[in-house]
Amino acid sequence: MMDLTGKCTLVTGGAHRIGKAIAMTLARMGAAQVVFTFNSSVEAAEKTAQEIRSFGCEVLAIRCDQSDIKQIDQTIEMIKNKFGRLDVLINSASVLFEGDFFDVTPDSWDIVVNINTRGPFFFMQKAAPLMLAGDGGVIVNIIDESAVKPALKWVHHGASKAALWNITRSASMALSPKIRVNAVLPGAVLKPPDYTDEHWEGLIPNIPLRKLGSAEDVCQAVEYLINADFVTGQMIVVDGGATVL
Amino acid sequence: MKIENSVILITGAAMRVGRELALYFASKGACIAFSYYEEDEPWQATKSEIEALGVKCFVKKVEIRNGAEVKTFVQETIENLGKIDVLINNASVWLKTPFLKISEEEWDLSLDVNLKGPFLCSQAVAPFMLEQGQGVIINITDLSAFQVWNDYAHHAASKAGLVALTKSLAFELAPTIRVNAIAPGTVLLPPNAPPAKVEWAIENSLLKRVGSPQDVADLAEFLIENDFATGSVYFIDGGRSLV
Repeated sequence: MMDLTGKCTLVTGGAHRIGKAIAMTLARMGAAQVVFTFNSSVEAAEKTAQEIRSFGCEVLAIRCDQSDIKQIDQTIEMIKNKFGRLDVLINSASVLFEGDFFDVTPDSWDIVVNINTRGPFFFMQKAAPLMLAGDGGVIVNIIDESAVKPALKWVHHGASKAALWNITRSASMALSPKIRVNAVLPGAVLKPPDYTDEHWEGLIPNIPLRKLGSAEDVCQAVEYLINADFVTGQMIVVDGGATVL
Repeated sequence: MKIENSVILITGAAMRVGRELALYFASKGACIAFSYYEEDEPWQATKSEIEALGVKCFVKKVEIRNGAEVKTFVQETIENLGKIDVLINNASVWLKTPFLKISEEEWDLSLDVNLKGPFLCSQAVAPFMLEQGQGVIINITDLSAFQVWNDYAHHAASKAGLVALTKSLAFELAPTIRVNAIAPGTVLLPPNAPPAKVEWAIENSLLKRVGSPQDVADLAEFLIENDFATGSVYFIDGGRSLV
């Protein structure tokens, strides 16, 4: 079981939604430092930083557009200079663009794949030496149903998440035994901002448990993986059974 | 679902991993029912240790391949402990024989204990869970369901069948009962395992060690507590499935 006391943690895309909930979980678990990246809203990032600080840990919010590798480099460099270590990396930052097979443009493809796949890969590649210089660590990549269940509405998104799942397994092999690398596959746990309540609740008939999940379901899975010393290269599914269908 | 004050039924829990699961959940405040099969299994010691933790324990010798015995066991568990919240299908045989030498009897034994047993137990327990409005079933499979193990054709078929059963039950028993499977790697070597076997297990894991029954217990705890998890297989193998 990993004790987060004195440990430095990083959540990409931690200013809001699932990333924020995970950052709060790490703080609650006793992490000494919770670092998170954000890209759009400074205001949301400041508010989140304040909320995390109330747990008594040190908080650092770093603006990072992870489609730009240089900014990933700078983020890790900043953590190295400020805290000298990194123990946990949660790749949560993601975009969700719709696009059916004939609608996906080259630009949209690049944005989705660069943020959802290339970004997490380089975060792992750049973070690993810092983790290995210390006690090793834990990496968790947040994927989703589209990684295992193709949906015509999210052709390139699904490809980006399926690739991230594959990279999760490669990374678990490349970084073992000191770093464990796993993925969490959430189902419908948090309403996308552009969904109406009606649309969101309309998903329920396609979920065997006949209910929507919550950010807490994902946080439980992340907490489990941080503590699960014998688990690497695996996927923890919390989707209400959606991928069984 | 909360573990404290729940009733957890575990098949084959007199010893080894089943016993550790029983003791862990008892330490968390769950009442335990468990079955054993051979009279020489240390079921009395396990029962005493569970009760010493301050919870009730009901034990019965059960032939898991026999539907009538399974039904009686489930009925008596309800009579003694009041309900069943969690069923852990753990009882298993572990038979190694080259394909061409597997007898019909050995095939039946492997499939009946490892697959028919969980089917019978789930079918006997599910009506009570459906009536009470909640329940969790956890099936213990293993990596042979997903990768080739030489000389384990019947064992692998039984464990792959258990994965398919897990998914079918997750679908048919939703939304009231959640059903998942755990696929452990090497978490407890047989007693007197030769050093070469231990070395092999360590070498064939990414994390370069063997696990422990507690690893399985931690995963089972997560699956009991997370109300949005159903229909999946969760590996706890130190990365062995990737080697």
